Amino acid sequence: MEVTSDIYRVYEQHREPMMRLALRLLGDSEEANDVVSDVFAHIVETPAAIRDNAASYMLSSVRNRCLNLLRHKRLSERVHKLLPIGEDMVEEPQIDETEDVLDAMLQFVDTELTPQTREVVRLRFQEQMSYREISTRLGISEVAVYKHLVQAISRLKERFNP
Amino acid sequence: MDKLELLLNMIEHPENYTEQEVHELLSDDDVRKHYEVMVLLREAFAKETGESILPESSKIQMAETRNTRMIVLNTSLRKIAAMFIAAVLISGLAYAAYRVLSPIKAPQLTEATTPSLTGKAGGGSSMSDSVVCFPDTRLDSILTIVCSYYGRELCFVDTTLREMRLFTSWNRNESLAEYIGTLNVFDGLHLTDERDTVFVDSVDGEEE
Repeated sequence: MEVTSDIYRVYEQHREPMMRLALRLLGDSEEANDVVSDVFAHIVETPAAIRDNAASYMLSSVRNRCLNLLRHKRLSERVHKLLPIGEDMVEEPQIDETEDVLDAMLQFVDTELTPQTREVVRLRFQEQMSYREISTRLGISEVAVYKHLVQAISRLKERFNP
Repeated sequence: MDKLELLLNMIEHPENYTEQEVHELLSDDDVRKHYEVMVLLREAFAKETGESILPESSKIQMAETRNTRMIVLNTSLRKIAAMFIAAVLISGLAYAAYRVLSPIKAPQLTEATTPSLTGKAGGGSSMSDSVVCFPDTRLDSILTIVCSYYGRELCFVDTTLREMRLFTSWNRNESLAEYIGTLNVFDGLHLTDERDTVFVDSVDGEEE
């Protein structure tokens, strides 16, 4: 596969945001890797497609390929992995804006939730532990785990998605 | 259980719900908004833990030759490996299915092909000619000989039984049904004679 150094340079420049977007949407590094590779392979074959705004083109390509992949997954599988379940949940990749929201959510978790609730949230969403594992780790009942999550998600929804 | 708790339960135990039930719950606007927040929260933590840092395999290797630059993508190696493994598994399964479902044709029985047969002591009598001892012999070897004698095909439903080793004797004057009865006494063995084929299967250990 022969490419120009220009294309390679453009790819190197945008590789990281492309991977970040794919990882966010798919939650799986292997799948994200494949999507980004496919986009690059397409660009190599049709370099004229990039035209003016390379960043926007590449990120939109990643978004569309991820959406295609998600459509082929069963709804219950997507829900189980907390993946987007519709196009409306996958905004056009205006990276700065979305990144700000994500940062703000983490700050909210750190500052606005009680220590116990914060810990439950981190174990569930960061460590991806099951409710049973969380209840064992923290020495609380599974019902209590549910209650903490309900509280946290309700408050986050009120603040970020009213 | 309120809707949000139901959603949490659905996420944790998807096996307990149908696609329709998941779809119906997420059609509720309020539930959907909660779900969207959870997706963002997952993304936020993924970003924080640095999962967005590119794995080594995603990097493009650039190799320069004398006159041209060749770019090799190595990101599809896992895809290729997965396809290869799938192909091997499928062909292996196909072969296994063929072996299980194809009855084994028992070879013609001749004295020369039965080096493991030993007659009972007392040489020359018809009794010694009719009783065959199988000392620590594989079951598939035993049954190949026996089935051939009675004109039956042989089929191992449980292929692991082929390697079972038995110390047993066979009286060629008895019927096949009698000999099968003898073998069925052994723990874990269940032989049947149906449609000119001896089927060999395992038993789960329940007493009759």
